Amino acid sequence: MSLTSTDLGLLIQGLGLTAWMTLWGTLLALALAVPLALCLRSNRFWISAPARVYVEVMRGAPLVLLLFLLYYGGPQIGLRLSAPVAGIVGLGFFGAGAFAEILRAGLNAVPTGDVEAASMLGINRFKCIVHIEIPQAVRTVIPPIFGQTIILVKEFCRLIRHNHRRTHQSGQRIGDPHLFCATVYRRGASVLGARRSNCTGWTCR
Amino acid sequence: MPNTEHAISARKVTKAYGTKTVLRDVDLTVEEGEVVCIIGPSGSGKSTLLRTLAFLAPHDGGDIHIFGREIGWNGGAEQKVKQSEKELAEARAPLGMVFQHFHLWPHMKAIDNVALALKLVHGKSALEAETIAFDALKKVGLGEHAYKHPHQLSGGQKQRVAIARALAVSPKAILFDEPTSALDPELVGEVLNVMRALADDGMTMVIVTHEMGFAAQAANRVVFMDHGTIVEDGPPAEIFGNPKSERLRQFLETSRERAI
Repeated sequence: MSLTSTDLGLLIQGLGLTAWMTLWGTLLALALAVPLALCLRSNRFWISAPARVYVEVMRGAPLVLLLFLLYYGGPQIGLRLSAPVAGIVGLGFFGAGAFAEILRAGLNAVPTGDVEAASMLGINRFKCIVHIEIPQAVRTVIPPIFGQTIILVKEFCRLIRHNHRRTHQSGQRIGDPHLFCATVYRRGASVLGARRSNCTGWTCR
Repeated sequence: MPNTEHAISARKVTKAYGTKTVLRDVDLTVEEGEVVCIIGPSGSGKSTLLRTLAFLAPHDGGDIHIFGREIGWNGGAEQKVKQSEKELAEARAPLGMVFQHFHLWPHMKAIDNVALALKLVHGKSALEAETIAFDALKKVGLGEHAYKHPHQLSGGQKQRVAIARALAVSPKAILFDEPTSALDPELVGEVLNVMRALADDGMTMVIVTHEMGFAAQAANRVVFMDHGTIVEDGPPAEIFGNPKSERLRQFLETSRERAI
């Protein structure tokens, strides 16, 4: 098989879709992670405990499980999501767990004295979080957040590969929009596979 | 009981960290306009006492009044009725605090460090806040450094920004927790000069310090602490010239030896 212009087009399209879904998934994950991290740091057990359980589950469970529950299980409780939306939502809720843990660490890294200085000046807890703790934490967490984002992208690719295998096994899911990425991946992989003989060597590891 | 004539009054204050008692029945009153230096060996409880005065370290027993208003607990620590965030902020309002490690907010310029509370707490417009902040910085001799970030400043400059930050909200008393202990010996002077000027202006100050020379010169009163209690309390001439307790004599001797 040789590289045709259709293949290349599909590849670029697939790359775009991955980038697009990752972007929105990551943004959603970050948005969810901020309140989660604040809950994790709460002194009140009934606030911190549920957040802790959520984070541990999301960091422990595989992404594919979450997406399967969301996409195939969702309709049973009346939640119908299109494939890309399910992907983004799943990625967001999944990533939020890891991001919350990173943010919590970043917030813990703000020196207590900085917070004491604020409270001595009458700055209340909420304003202190907004003006002093979060801006400092953001600087600390940027590198690990990027690292985690890359892990998310890879996790996502692995998922696509799963579906790609399923395509071959069942052969009945062609046309399922959920597998658009998989199709792209299969095309791309077979192109590369012709040269490298092992298609799993691409982005997914 | 509330007493309006004292700037700060601590009555029978106790404090323990776990099983270790760090303050035992400490009584301390500071009058308006007074400069009180607290000296003593490491671990004697001087910083803890200072922090309890601002309720940064909650006391376990006794009560503390700031300009007649109880701070931290309502009806003494034994009642275990903690003040709400708002009550505590109101009780703290007359107090400023300067820390050993400055604790400037690193993501803000010096002037923004000073102006933040004016904007967030005192409802000043950005322009008003900056004007007041700039004046405060000029007062500590840092007018030309106002637009630098903390990491561009020396330790002495950072501590002076911290003093300006405390001053900008016009507190009635300022607590200093070893303000020069983290500084290079060469930079101690500039901070002490600012503090001396404040004392001359009549600011009420409580200073935990190891600078015996400064305490002897600038303080109206010196308090010597050891093992969580106040051992001696008197004018600097008395404390340094005529120590009554053996423990204070020892302490002064070792600190003099170290100074040479």
